[in-house]
Formats: sequence, structure tokens, C-alpha cells
Amino acid sequence: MVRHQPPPVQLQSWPRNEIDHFILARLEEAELPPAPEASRAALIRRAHYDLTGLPPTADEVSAFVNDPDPEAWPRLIDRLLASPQYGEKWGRHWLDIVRYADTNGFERDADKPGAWRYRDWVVSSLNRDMPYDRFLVEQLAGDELPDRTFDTMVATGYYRLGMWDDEVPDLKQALYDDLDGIVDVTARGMLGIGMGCARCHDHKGDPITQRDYYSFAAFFAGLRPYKSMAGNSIEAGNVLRSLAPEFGVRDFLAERTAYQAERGALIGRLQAIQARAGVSSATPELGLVTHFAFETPAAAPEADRAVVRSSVGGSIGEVVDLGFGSNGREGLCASFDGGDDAMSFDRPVSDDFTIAFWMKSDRLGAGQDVDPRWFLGSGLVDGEVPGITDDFGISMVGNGLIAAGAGRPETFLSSTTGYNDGTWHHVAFTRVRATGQLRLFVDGREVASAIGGSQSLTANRRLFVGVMATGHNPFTGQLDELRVYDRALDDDALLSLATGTAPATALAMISSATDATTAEGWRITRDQLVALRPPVMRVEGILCATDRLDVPPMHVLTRGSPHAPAEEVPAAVPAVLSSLPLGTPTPAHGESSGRRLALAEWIASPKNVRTARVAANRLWQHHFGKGLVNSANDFGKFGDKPTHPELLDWLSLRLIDEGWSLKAMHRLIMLSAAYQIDSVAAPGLRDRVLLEDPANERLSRFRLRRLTAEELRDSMMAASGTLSLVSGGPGVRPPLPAEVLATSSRPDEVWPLTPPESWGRRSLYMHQKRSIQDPLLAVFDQADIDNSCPVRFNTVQPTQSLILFNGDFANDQARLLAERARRESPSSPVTALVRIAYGRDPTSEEVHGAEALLAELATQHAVASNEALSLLALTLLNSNEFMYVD
Amino acid sequence: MSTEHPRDSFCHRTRREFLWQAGGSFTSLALVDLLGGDGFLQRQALGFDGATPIAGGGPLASKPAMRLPHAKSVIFLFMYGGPSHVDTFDYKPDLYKYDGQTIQVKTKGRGGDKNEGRIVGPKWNFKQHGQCGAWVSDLLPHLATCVDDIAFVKSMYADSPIHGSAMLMMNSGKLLAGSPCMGSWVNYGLGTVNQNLPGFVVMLDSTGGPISGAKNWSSGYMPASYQGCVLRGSGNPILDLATPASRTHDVQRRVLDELKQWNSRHALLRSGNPELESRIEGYELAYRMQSSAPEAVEMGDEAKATEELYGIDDARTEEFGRKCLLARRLVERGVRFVQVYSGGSHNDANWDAHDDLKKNHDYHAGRTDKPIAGLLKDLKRRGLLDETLVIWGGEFGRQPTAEYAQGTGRDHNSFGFTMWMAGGGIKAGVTVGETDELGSIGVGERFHVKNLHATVLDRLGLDPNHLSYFYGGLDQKLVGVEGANPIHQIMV
Repeated sequence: MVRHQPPPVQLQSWPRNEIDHFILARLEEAELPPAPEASRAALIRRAHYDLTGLPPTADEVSAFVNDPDPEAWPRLIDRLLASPQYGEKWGRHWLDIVRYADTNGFERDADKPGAWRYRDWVVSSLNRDMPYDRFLVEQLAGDELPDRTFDTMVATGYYRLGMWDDEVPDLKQALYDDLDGIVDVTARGMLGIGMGCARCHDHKGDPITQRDYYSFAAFFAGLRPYKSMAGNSIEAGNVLRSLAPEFGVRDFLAERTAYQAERGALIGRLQAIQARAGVSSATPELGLVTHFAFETPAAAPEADRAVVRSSVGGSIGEVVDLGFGSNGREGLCASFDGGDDAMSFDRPVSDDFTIAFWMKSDRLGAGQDVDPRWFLGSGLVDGEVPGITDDFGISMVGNGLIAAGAGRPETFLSSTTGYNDGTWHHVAFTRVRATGQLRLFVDGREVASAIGGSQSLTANRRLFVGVMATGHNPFTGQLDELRVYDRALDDDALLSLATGTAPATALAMISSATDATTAEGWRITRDQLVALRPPVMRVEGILCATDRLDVPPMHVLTRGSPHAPAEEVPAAVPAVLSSLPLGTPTPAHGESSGRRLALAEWIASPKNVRTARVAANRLWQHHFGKGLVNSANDFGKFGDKPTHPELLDWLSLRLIDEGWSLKAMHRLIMLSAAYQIDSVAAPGLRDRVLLEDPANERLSRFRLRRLTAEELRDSMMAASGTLSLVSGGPGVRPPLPAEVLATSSRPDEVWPLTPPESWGRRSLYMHQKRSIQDPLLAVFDQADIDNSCPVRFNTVQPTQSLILFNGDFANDQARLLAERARRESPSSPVTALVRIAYGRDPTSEEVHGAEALLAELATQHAVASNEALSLLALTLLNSNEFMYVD
Repeated sequence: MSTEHPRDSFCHRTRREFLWQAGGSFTSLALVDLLGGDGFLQRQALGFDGATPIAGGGPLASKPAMRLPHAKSVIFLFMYGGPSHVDTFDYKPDLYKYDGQTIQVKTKGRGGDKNEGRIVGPKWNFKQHGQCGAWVSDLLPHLATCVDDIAFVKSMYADSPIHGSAMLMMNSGKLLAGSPCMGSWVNYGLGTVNQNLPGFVVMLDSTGGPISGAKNWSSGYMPASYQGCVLRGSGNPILDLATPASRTHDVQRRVLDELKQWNSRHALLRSGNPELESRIEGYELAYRMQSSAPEAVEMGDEAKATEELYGIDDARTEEFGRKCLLARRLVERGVRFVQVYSGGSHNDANWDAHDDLKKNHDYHAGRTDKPIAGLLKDLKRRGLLDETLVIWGGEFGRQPTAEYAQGTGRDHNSFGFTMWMAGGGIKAGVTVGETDELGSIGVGERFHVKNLHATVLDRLGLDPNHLSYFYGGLDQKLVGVEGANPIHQIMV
């Protein structure tokens, strides 16, 4: 690519920066002058919509219009670029390209768990002005980066946005279809080249060959597929990882080591004092009826069915395939592999009790954090009997939450944080029958309590360990020192169990056996132990890249059929795209081959100007309504030719020079004179401009544009005062018309409403479900989420008018807008209405016309004045001035 | 229509751009005709990857067929869930004989690939009917009286025996969502002759839509102008068609006039931008639709005998009967493509008879048999059958064998099944294709869903192998980039 000098121009006074030279030179070729500068009011509205997707308020407009400072315009640009709404607006453009969706489609159209984190990552990356090269690298290989974090892992959700058939007719075909989606989005979205045509065979004249296609696909061959066997579900384990938000940022291991060291030292000091005082036993014994220490491996010839014995009371645990690990909390421990490993024993208690044990796990439990009822989790010690009955149990739910509960009335307790961090934790569940009090302790501290029933809990004759009593939801991890008491131990005793130190009542014994100073030292140390907080790391299940180490070979597929593999191909980029050599894949973290990182670095290399061209063109497109290359996803043979090729080259190199800063480019573009011209040619020149530049390819005037679907809906809510600027989080579901719900195969379940306070959230945050769409967004050309959408359609359809004029949403917003206008200006609501909707004062002609309408509606049609004002508000929301940006 | 790659022609581009600018209004039809000597301009003058789809005359402007059309409209009666061909039209005497026996037969369905299965004998008796002697079971007594107007295709096959993907295939030719449906292609190719009604209408079952909902009438990568419009047989026929209850007709008109004033003032300052004008016109079109669509739906002018013909007087057949009658009224008024679903939601709410075949098919056939026969008879006596193509079928058929150890339910079968067509350009009283002696797979000449699609386009005067839309670097077609032939054996 050549670094073109901005061409010389005749009208020297016009250009404000280099961009203008390129634009003006093309205009002067046709002897056309650029349109005059747009009004200040038009400019601020243009800037607001282009950078935030929302209108300015009337006060913002008048402040800007009346600001004589020449720096007002750059200051406005900087303010908008710094607002959180910038990322929401420009994030939407990128989400269109990567075909972001919250669900999988097909029969169950199930949610993609946590897909919204990827959406939020896009928004926040843009808001932080993450360099565009890094933006691409994190999506392609955030998991393979040496400096990976939770966020870079979330970025690889990029790979998990496609439609996934939960019940596939042909598994191989489906997986190649998913791969094709990834190839397509990467090639078109990042490189502006369509490769999909070459999936089946070579095309005459297409420089991308079938071999190129499969070589490119081979970069992604290590990704675990969303499904690897028959059946009607998505294999979540293949597309999710459990990670803590502090992953890669915080050295949790070091914190935990420090904590453990400090805790160990405190416990050691306590035990030393106790030993001196002759307080030998650190563990309460009173009422202990069962104690499985898991020290003696199952004493039976056939290891998979055996028994272990309690050290007190003679209780016998029947064991299925249970392993004994040497890495126990004390000596050996019981190890559960998440398969059929389990133990059960006769329930020794039913009234007052304490069930206490050590547990260690680094896996997810069954169930979800949002619904941590104990019987939904993975069984720890459980006696559940389905239905509402006299049962109880303890389990681990979702991200390691400890849950317990008892039946009749159904009473549930759970911790608020997870404990599946791979270290030992002490869990205890106590009950006092007379009061019905249930308490749940972790590591010697109460985490939840509740009052349940006061009957004997006798529904299940046996208690199950490492699995729910129903035989479902096995636990994966280790358990040790399972103790059952026939009384509810108090806080002190439980702390003792969890720390191995004597109860506070021992203070007297220590005092009498030693001296007051020693006893005081013991007390202070114990208080320190109580106050010591473990480092907490809550893990989240995130949708991201997960690889298999044995990357399957990639073959050219004859006629695109996965059942007809031909020659094997290595991962390679098509030579025709760039002569830039591909780096060597570096194995990252031993979890994947590193070949995606090699591709990412190739795509995002400053030497790969193609990437910069595609990005610079998209920036231009969303500021000027049309790219310099109109086919924004296709710069190849079948794409459109650029209208200003030298300018495109110049912008691309500038983007790289600016360190790939998108915000720097917005600023540059918006400071040009070309961006600041009017949407209408100067009077007297209009006919000539239409004749000479009918499609406005020379940019003789600014392109008027309709609001996008989301901008329109958000602007209506902004006008009515219901717009909420809360950002991020799971998708929201505001009400949809019953007629739309009726088109679903599950009309009653498809769209559970989120709380009313979420209904005013920006449309970006609406749950993107494949099988159902908000009708207003759909009819105003929201992107089809099944394909990469580089350019939104811009249709004019009668159904748009119907929905905006007759629909509930529009009429509700109009009513609220009218109420707001009346509230803000009881004496002249018409003026207020126009100011809110248009950001300007009405003309006297408009006021007279509007008042004539209101009067006529009142006198001739008997419309109440409130209703009449709502109709005027509806008129404004439907008007072109509201819907178009000059 | 040009078979040249549209991108290779500078001439096309210039003209397209010209239209984009100058022809965005609803009134520039004549201009398009003037410029559009080549079919390309008339069909492809709107947005593929990157182009703004405001074309001369609007995307739904009526366009001449590519060649002499045999039919003007399509009514697709979609038996969602997959009706059993061996219990309706595909008579297999052996199945009665083997009832209850486990025999070797290759099947592929929801339950996976199997090599043997327990035969379920058909639950109804077959007889030959009409002059043509077509076999029809006594599940469909009314339809049996229409066989001399029908062409049966008994060796249909599809690429998927699973509802989700099979529905998409029957509607759009692809197993994955994202491509335009047949009704979108028809409107893209021909436009509509009645701008006051939607060109592609879908009527759903009262229990809900099919799996994937709107994907089944999506315009995919084409503009939303071509997507199907869901129409209800009662109440407010189209979403937000009715003026809110509190607003009188006069008030609506007055407020629309007010809107026009605000918009005119706005447009005046912008030197008559055609897009702004077409949006102003859009409100008038919507206003006309507000009276046209209810008129089409309001059946007060239908004779009682006509309603009886469709079974509207009987609670069991009323719902589907109304929709069939509505379908006739719509095609009479120029709607190009009408799709009526029998069955919705999941399981036995549609023809998906996994458990009790008799109960399921008695229910769904009982609700649709008379209305469908009524529709054929009514179209015929009005002379509309000659220009209306009627299609009957599901996304696949059913297996000869039971799915479970107990019960009479059949699993899905995409290896071989029956669909039928009648009306415009279709031979009357013929049968083509067959399945093996068990009805498990098509034998001899088999017809893919794409052949069915090709037949529909062909009969409407569109060349299925040349009606294309440039997207993703390819000239996309309903029948796939590789093309497919129509089923000549059933074409007049």
C-alpha cells in the first residue's frame, strides 16, 4: 500500500485536515462544491447519534449552539467519546458483524450461558479504547495469550456465537457448519474477504481456493465442538470454563498460601499452649454418634462394593467404587470421581443433630447459583426424598455454593460464595428440633440459618455421601472426617472442629494449668484466628474457547461433504491475502496448540494493512452512512470498488500510526470539514449536484440517515423519560405483544419477563433470542443474527408505520412523553413536547398548527386534552425529523 | 434475467445507484420499466451485501414473470410435525400383514439410526378413488373426493429427520436458519399486485408457532420487506393493524394528516429527498392496509353454503376451515404466497405422532380434511384453481415401524414421504414416485425438497436455476447454488 500524499485542491480555505483534501479533490474533478457547513444544531445531533446512538437534550443543543468557543466541537467529540454510551453504540456495530445472539436456535433455542459477558466485553473494550489490533487478538486467541486474564478468556466467546442445532441430523455436518460460521465471520469480519464460496469447490476467477478455505479452517480445528455425540442437548462442558473474575490478574494461589500459612501458625500457637496446659483433645466428643475418618480403605476383596466402619457407634458405611486418597485433611480421605462413587449408611439422627465434614473440590456442582436449593445440587451428605416430606441433606450447588435444607416446611439454607477452590473446607449443618433452628457453617463460621419444622426428620432411612439420595447429581472431590452428633454443636465447638483448637470453655482450664498471661495469649490468638478471613475467589461459568490437545487433522472436503475427506492440509493463510509470513504457533499454557494465536498475530500485524483497511472503512461507514468500500465485508473480487481508494489507504495507515486507536480515528474523521457539511447542497446547486453526483459517491453533501432500529427505540424511551442507562449484565426481556408470543412454539415460556425496572434498558441489552424478536426492532431492519451483517438494510414498509402509529409500545411512549411535557411545562406543553422530541424550540407555525390540532380534536372529536396531547406526541415520535439524522 | 455476474457490469451498478437515489418512491414504477429492460434490474435492484435496498417501485412492486406463468399464487398447507404417508396416501398392503412383527428395515429418525423395528400396521383402510384410482385411506374421506385434481409425489425425501432443521429445509431449502423462505423468494421474484396487503402471509395454529418460530417465514439475508406476515383469522388480523380502541377513524385520519404536515415541512427543507417521501407515502399505504386487510379477513359476504363447504359450521373444523377460506380470499386479492399451518407447538399439538398414531392423526386429519377439500372445490368452482398452486405436506413423513417398545407411534422419516400439489400448472389425477414395500424409503426416481421448490418457482413463471440473489459472494438460489430441476412429471 502506498502512503498517498493528500492531493492539492483549489478551494484552499475548505480543508480542515488531510481527509478533506481527498474528498475535495474528487469534488473538484466534477466541478462540484461541497455543501455548506451544517448548522450547529444539526452537528451536535449528528455527533450524538453517531457516537452514542442517543439524541442530545434541548439544553445540550442550545449550550452548544451558543458556545462561541472554536474548541466547542472538539470538546463535544471528546465528551461523547468518553461517555459509556459510546461503547454501547459502536459495540452494536461489531456485534452485527460477529452475529451476536443469546440463544442457540432450533428446537429448544436454549440460552448460550453467559454470552452476555462477551457483549459486555465488546462494549467495555471499545469504551477503554482498546487498540483495534489487540481487540482482534483477544477474540481470536485470548486464551492463548501469555498475559491472559478473565477478560481475554471472555473475549473468546467470539467462537461460541453461532447457531447450534441441539438435535442434529448429521453431527459431522453440523460441526463443519459451525466451523464455517467461524471461518466466515473471521474472514469477512476481520479481513473483508469472503471464503465461504470455496467451501465446496474452486470457483473460476476466485483467488480463494478450496484448499485455502480448509487451510484457514485448520486454525480452528482444535476448538472443542459444541456437541460431540448424539442426543438433544448442547455439551456445555465443551464450551464453558469455570473461571474467577480475578483470573490472571490476582495471584490467588499466593494469597491462599499466605492465608494458610498464617492460619497454620495461629493454630500451631494455640495447640502449643494447649499442649503445655494439658488440654489434649481439640475436638468435641460429646454426642458424637458416627465418625468416618476414612483412614482404612474398604476392607473387602472386591473394591467396588465394600464397607467402611465408623470409629464410634459401629455404624457401617456401604461403599460403591469409592477411592481413598492419601491427600486427606487428616490422613486418608474419601475421593469421589463424579461417576458412581458413593457411600451410604443408616441415618443415625433425626431430631437434634450436627453433621460435619471436610470437603475439597475444584469442580462445578449440579444446579445453578441462581437457585441454590439443596436438592438441586451435587450430594455431599444427603437424605432427600422427592416431594415435600421429612427429609434433609447437604449439597454443593453450581459454583461451589454449600446448600442444606430440610423438608416440611421446605426450608433452604445456602452460602453466598463458592468453596470449590481446590482447598479443604469444613462444612457443618446443625438442627435443634424444639425450635426448628437450622444453621449452616463453613470453616467454623455460620453462613446461613433458618427456622424449619420441628418434627422428626425420618423420611429417609439412610444417608448418602457423595451423591444425592435419589442417585442423581454425584459430587466430584474429596470428603474427610465425617462426624455426626446427636446434638447441635454451638459456635465454639464448630470453630474448634474447623480449626482443631479447644473450645472457649477451655480457657479456664488453660488459665488454671498455666497462668493468666498465657491464657490471655491463647485468647488473643484464638480471636485472631476467628478474625482471619480466607481469600475468596468466586468462579463463573464463561462461554469461551476450549481446545483439545489432540487437534484433529483438517482435510479438504470433497464437495464440502464431511463424509468425503480428501488431502490433509496444514493451518495456513491464503497467500493471495498477504505475503506476510505466519509466525510459529507457540503452545500456550499447554491447553491448546497456539495456532489461533499465530493467526491472530498475523491478522493484527501492522504489516497486514488489509485488516486496517477493513476497520478504517467500517469507521467511515458508520460516520458517513456508507463505506468508502460499500460492500464492507467484501474487499475481494466480488466486492465494490472504493469510491476514494487513496483516502482509504491513507486512513488505514493512519489507524496503524495511531496505535490502532479507534477513538483517535473518530476524532480525526469528525474534525474534518467533510463530516461537518450539510445534508443538502447549497441553494441553486441542488439540481446540478443531483445530476452530477446522484448517489453521493463524491460526498458532495452529508448523507441523511434513518435511525437504526435500536436508536429509534432508545430515542423514544429517551423522549418519554423511561430510558435507563444501566449498562451490562444478562439480557433483559420487556413485554412483547401477545401476537408475537403466539408465533413461538412455546408461547407461554418463550419470553419470561425480567423485572419492570429493566424494561427501559437500551435495546442493545435486550435478550437476543433467535426464535423471537421484538417486532419494532425487527421491522426497522435489526440485523439478522444468523449471518454476519456488515450493513443494515434500510427498508420502508407499511408495517413500520402500523407498529409506530398503532402499537402499544409507541402509544405508551407517546403518552409518557405527553405527561412529561405537561409536567415540565404546564403552561406550554406543546413547546416542551417539541423541545424534548426534537431538541429545539418549535416555530410559531408549528405551535399554531399543533394548537389547532389540539383544539380540533377537543371540539370536533371530543378527545380529552390529555389524550390529544398524547396524539401530538405520537405524531412527533412518528415524524421524519425524529427518525432521521441530518 | 441476466445470468451474468451482476458485479461485473459497470452499467448495472450505475443504474442501480441511479435508482437508489431517484427511485426510492412508490411512484417510480414507470421509471423502472423504462430502465429495466433486463430482468436483473427488476429483481436484483436491491441490497445485497452492502447496498441499500431502496429500489425503483419498492421491493414489492409487481414484476413480470421470467416466462409464461401457470400460477399466480401459492397456498401451502403445512402439516407440521410430519403426517404419516403410509396411513394417508401411500398404500402398503404388507404393513397390515407384518403388524407387530420385528423385521429388518433401515430407518433414521429422532431415535437415531436403526436396522430393525416393529412394524405398525396402518390404522386405517385404503380404497381407490376417482377416475385416476388414487389410493386414499379412510382417514381423509373428504380429500378422497378430490384426487382427480391432485398430483401426488410419493418419493419425496429431505436432508433431516429432525423437526428443527427439517422445518427450515422445507421452508428455506437449508438446514440452517438465515436464508430466505419460499414465500420471500416468490415475492422477490414477482412482487405483489396488491400493495395494500402483505405479499407473503402465514397463518399459524392456535396452539402456537412451529419450532424456530419466525425463522420459518424469515427473509434471511434479504430485506425484511420480503418476510412473511403473520395473519390471524380472527381479532386483529395483523399486528398493530387496528387503530387503538380509544381512537376513532376520523381521529386517526386527522392525526395522520397532521403527521403529513410535519413531514412535509421537514422534507421541504431537504429538497425532496426520495427516501423521506417514500416514508411519508408509507403511512398512507399503512392506512390503506388498515381497511384492505380487515376487508379480506371479514367473511360476512361469504355464503353460508361456502362456509359449510369449509366446515366452518362445525367446531372441529372451524379453525382450519376459516384459515382455508381466508387463504382463498387472500389469493383472490393478489397475495402471492399463503402458508397455513395445521398444528403448532410440540408433541401431539401437531402431527408428530410418537405415541398413539390413531389418536394423533384422527385429531389433526379430523380438523383439516374437510376444510382442505372445501378449499380445492371452492377454488375450482371459482376458476381460481387454475392460477393457484396448492401444496400439502409436512417437513417429512413417518416410519413404518414403531418408535417405542409399546404403542403405535411412528418416528420421523425423511427417506421417503408423500406430498401433493394441485392447481395452476399441475397435472390433475397423477401420481409419481414410490417408496419400497414398507414405505420406509423412496425408490426409483426420488424427489428432493429442492425439486418441490423448483416446481413451485417454475409454475409461477420463475426459473428456479436463475432466480438468484447475490449474497456472501455467491448468486444464492432457493434451490441452492447447485440448482435443481422441477418435477416435470406432474407439470402440464
